[in-house]
Amino acid sequence: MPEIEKLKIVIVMPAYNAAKTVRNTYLEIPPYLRENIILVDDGSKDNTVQIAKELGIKVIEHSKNVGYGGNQKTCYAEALKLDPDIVVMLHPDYQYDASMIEDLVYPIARGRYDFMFGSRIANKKGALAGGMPPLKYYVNRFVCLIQNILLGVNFTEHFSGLRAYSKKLLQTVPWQNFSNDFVFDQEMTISALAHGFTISEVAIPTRYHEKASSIGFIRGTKFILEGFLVITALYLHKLNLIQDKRFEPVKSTNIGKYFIALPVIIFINLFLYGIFQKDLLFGLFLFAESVLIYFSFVSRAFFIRLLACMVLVFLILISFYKDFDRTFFYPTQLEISTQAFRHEYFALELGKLYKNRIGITYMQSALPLASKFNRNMFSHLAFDSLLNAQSILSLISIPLFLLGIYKLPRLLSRGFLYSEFTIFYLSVVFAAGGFLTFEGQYGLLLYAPIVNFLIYLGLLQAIHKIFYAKA
Amino acid sequence: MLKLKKTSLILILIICLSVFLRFYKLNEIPTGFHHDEVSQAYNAFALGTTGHDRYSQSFPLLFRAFGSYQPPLYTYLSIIPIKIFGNTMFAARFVSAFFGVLIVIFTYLIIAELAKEKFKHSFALLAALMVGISPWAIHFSRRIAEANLGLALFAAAFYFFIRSLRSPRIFPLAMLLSGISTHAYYSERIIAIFFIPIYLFIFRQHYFKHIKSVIFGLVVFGLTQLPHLYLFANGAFSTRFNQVSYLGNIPEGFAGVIYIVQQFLRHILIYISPHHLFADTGSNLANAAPELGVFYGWFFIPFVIGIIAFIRRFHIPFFKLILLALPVFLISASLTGDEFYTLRILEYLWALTIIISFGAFLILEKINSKQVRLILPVMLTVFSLVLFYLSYGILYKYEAEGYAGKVYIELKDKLAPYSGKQIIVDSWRDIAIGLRIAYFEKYDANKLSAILGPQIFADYYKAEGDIQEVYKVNNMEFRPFVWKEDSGLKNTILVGDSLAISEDQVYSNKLTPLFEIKNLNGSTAIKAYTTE
Repeated sequence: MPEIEKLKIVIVMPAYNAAKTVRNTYLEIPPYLRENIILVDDGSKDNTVQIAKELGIKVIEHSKNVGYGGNQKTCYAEALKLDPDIVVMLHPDYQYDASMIEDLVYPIARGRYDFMFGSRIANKKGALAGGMPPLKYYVNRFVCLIQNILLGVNFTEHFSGLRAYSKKLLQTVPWQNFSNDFVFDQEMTISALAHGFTISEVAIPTRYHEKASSIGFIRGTKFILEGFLVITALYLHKLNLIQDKRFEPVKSTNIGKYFIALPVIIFINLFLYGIFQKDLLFGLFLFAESVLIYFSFVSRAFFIRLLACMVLVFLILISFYKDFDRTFFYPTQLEISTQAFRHEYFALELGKLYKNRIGITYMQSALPLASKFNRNMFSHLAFDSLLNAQSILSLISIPLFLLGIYKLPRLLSRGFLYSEFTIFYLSVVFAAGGFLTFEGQYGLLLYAPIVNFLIYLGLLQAIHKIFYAKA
Repeated sequence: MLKLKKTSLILILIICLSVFLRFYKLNEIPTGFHHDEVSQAYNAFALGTTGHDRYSQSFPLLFRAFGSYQPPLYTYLSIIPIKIFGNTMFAARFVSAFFGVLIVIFTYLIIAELAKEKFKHSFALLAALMVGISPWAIHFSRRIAEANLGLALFAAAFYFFIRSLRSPRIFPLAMLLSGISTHAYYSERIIAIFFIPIYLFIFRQHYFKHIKSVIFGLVVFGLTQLPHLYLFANGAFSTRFNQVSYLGNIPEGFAGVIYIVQQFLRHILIYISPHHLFADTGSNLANAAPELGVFYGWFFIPFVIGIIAFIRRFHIPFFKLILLALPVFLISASLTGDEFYTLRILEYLWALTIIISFGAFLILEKINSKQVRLILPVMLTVFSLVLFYLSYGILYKYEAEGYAGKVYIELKDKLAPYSGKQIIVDSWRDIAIGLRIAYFEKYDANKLSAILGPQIFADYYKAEGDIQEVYKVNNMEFRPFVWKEDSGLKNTILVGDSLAISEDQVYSNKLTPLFEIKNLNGSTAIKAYTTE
């Protein structure tokens, strides 16, 4: 693998009481890769440091034990000082086959991936034959499955201790902000994914043995739960509800700062419409849609938009069932008589242009229907009705709504809000409104989620000027 | 050079189209002559022949009209066309139509002055075209609308304001036009007072360097406001506002403040609602033609794009000026009780048309094909004008005739053969019948003022008097019927609609049918009977 030899590959070993295994681990590393090895000793009580030094490994010592994650932070900080192309993290407990390092770094060297790890659980037979306890195997597989779904990946393991990173990844991912505990590895994976780095795996042999380090049941459980907490934090971060320093700073505003005000606004506004008394189910769907609209604005998460679409379909179905404008098929007496008069006017003015089948069909059937559809569509965009302008609370909501309208295009133009779905939402509601009567108010209420969001935006701007986090 | 020629050619075409849309059949459509129009027209005729209005007031600062007042400028400007073209609807509407065309021209000049060199001609042409074909712009250019004159003067002032950024000496001219506009329409008073400070604030750095021009301009503006001070002292300044505003009927104390704020905000929402702007302006045919909003429905798409684009460019002075002016344009309308009253928001509609045209411009810019960029506006213009013709040219013609008393214009000719008889025309539902006939008859203003003058209870500028005035033109008397007395008159012609003279009254008073006048749709509008 000539390309690899030209690259500067630094191998880091986070060590704690690894005296019994560090030599074997070292000897398994291909000789041409032994040039840049750093071992960080995390306050070992055995002679790990002495053996490592005998082997010619550069050793960094922690005066006290800071934990697995803290150890790795020193590893990467030291590794980056050497200006590497690739950094490999290898546990010195001889659990991972160091001869596989070449396979691990090769895809990074070719620029295909930024992050590679060795998977011990590529197949059940190999993992169990390698000495992995069955309980550990099944827990590992189950947790892996869930995390795969949540993160949208398809790895065979999430807890590997043999990893290789590109220099760019280590310079980008804020690992300095990660935990000092075991969850560091998970944070590294999730943060790398959040930053858009590509990750892949290679199968490595499973090698469980009594000298290898092992995490206990309680700490193991804590480790798994912490992994899920990291994923939860990622979701909240993506939804702009929290700003988590472990992940890419989403181009965003402080728009989630007063999120608690949003449900209050939604509830008050929907209550003013009287929708909860009129149609509880529709009101609940509207409440949910208002929250989803907010998230669809501030997050790129696909599932939010999917969910919002589904709720919108329900809302439109209910609206059509309750409030479809039946005069499309059964015109009112007034409409019939108006049309009869207009028939005369058109005939008098247009003569033969009108008095033919096409003219009459167009003027008597197509034009009134198109006109009615047009009128219906716009009738729901009456802001005075949309904002309950007769209610006393409108004294607050109207200025906030206007402020929100003013603020919205500027936020959109700066890319702080993701508007595609909302434009889609508004277009669908606008078109659906063409079939609904104004009197029934269902068409009007379909706009309520956007109105609620704009009021919230105005409120935020009024009490705490919206700022823009630097990307 | 070629580009300039092409631009000039397109501009001339747009102006020709605007002239056609505003002047074609101006004497026929709108059918009828609304009482506000009649009042302006007769006063202009009276001033042109006698130097005083129909109440014998010499050159008034405000014109009394049916219990209220009309701003004077339109009436004074109408003297000349009425002198030239005679007492016709065309002559009376001429000023409105003429200034309607000027609005189109000034729109082009303003955009061409302000927009970036790169797209100034295309954006300016598009804006002129859209103002030229907008339903609101044509609608109010084809009837006597002081607001249309006010808008034209405002647009002219706007143009000279921005020209003064290059030539500061023009600034007083802009202020003069702005000051004069306050005599064209009531809303202009509020607009001028708010717009000028906003404009000066936005361009303060420029005007600080030319403080002399600013001071001179302010003095000129102040001089134009002196008549308002006189009216203010006499009570007529706010008469119209008191009549149409909701401020006169508010709860006491803090509840009153809440009520005002609430009403104001509600009206702002009404005026910014797409519902009213693009589809339904209500049943009042004074606002817009049937089945047509103040804008065409398809304007909504460029409107959304345009308003977003304007807000995004808020930091650029021109965009900032238009956006800050929008609420100013709505203040006066939002202080009145009407739900959506188009006449009071013409500046707002004009500014929105500029925003819409900017949205349309941005859309066209995205289109790569030059042919499509040319064909699309032409097709949309044709489509819009077809819609406008169907709505305004046909439906409005028929459906608004009752609204503007069209049949009473014909009544003059029908009654001509009965000059020897006493004629009483019921004016209960149309207070302007007498004045309408006086205008078309060219009835001597001195004679009419001798009848109307005594009907004013107090000073000319104190709006006291009965809205139902009694008019007498030759042998014709125009007033509500008093059946007990009128039925006893011998050999008298009674004219009225079916509500004024029912079948029972015909039978019981032994009236003999004389003639009837039909509406355009063939239904009977008014009937004339003779007493025994």
